Amino acid sequence: MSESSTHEISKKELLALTGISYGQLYRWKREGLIPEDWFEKRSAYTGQETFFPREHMLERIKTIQSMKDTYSLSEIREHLEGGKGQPDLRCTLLSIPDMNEAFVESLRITRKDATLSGSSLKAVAVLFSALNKVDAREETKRVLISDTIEALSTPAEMPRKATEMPGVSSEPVTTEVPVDSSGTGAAASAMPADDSSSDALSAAANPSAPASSIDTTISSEKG
Amino acid sequence: MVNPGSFSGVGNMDNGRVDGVISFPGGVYADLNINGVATAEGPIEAADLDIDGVFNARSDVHCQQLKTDGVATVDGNLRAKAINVQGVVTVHGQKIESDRIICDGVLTSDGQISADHIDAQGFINAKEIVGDNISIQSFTRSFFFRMWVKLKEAVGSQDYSVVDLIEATTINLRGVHARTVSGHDITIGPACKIEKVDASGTLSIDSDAEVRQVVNNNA
Repeated sequence: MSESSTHEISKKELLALTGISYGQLYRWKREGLIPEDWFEKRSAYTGQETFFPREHMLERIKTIQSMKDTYSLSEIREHLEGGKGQPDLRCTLLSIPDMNEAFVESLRITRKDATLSGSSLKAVAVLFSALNKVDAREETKRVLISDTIEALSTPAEMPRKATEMPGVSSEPVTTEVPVDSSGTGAAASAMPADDSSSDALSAAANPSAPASSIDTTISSEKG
Repeated sequence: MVNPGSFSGVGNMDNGRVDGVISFPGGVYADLNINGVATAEGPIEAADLDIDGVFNARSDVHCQQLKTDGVATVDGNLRAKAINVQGVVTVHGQKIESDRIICDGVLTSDGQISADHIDAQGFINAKEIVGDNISIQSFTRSFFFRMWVKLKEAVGSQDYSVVDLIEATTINLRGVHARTVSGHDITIGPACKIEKVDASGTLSIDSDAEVRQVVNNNA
């Protein structure tokens, strides 16, 4: 067995976990899709072993796998380099299980250079999965996912909290939430009529106040 | 493009064809055809690099196709889409990278050879060989070749490939001495001496091969 810690993964474990071959791994390294300094050779009890930064490597492999059938390796490299090492938003979203290209294309994302941090991507993935489980309408899914991505994505490399993002100030969160004027009725009216969503989705269903609710979701998903 | 006049030595360097004994700076070329004895002082970038004579590159070489019937020495790294070694190629840099390597001569690397496909009937020596499909057949049962090998043994010449680590999806070896061979589907043929074999798929070991340890994850 490998001696991987939680922060790194051995080459053997990586191949077994991701299903990629030696040939793919080395081809992607040659093409610059995987940085050379991610390959760290060390002595292990089994002999010389190569280790990678776990989270970065798994995320990178997932991104490449989601793009390789559509883009050439040099195009993938451009995407990765263009985002300062972060893949573009479309590619990131395609790594979410059950996500498809048609749905990603239908999303209304105004910031084309936006990126999602690892935790934000997980939040979007959780929301997407929840909406699929309750069999939400396509339009509902599109609106909720689009608004969530708008709230969470940032053009900078470092992720920031949704409430600190430019264009998403606290003012719209407090003034647009209709609780003061019409209480829960308005909040309920923000939900699509044919959604039998539970209360767990009601906060996310309100497009006026995604920041604080999703922020809560992120903090509950972390750790 | 390098000004053909900017070389030193006795010879010609016209339209990428190098004759005589010449030293020239690095640069970007379309095709380079080395017939004499040429030294490139800086990094070389070319479409096709054809070596029939003796070529010394003091730095990196980057080309689409490298074909050597002569002798080539690269002090830096070598990167080419396709490499065809009929003569002798020695690379002192950390890596040789290619999509496809054919070697009927002798290819030696001080570092790592990384290629999708390697098809060697000659000899390859390297610290590491990694890739997708690697076939090194440095041994044949032909009587005349075996006599030739014995003659070369007598003069201390090479008769098998020597590699520290071979790692690829599919590996097929004959006449290879290696410390570790790891891959998915591995065939260890005759005249191989391997310290450790690790196959995650299929493994076949010839009765004439020596394998000290087998780590088979497919058990």
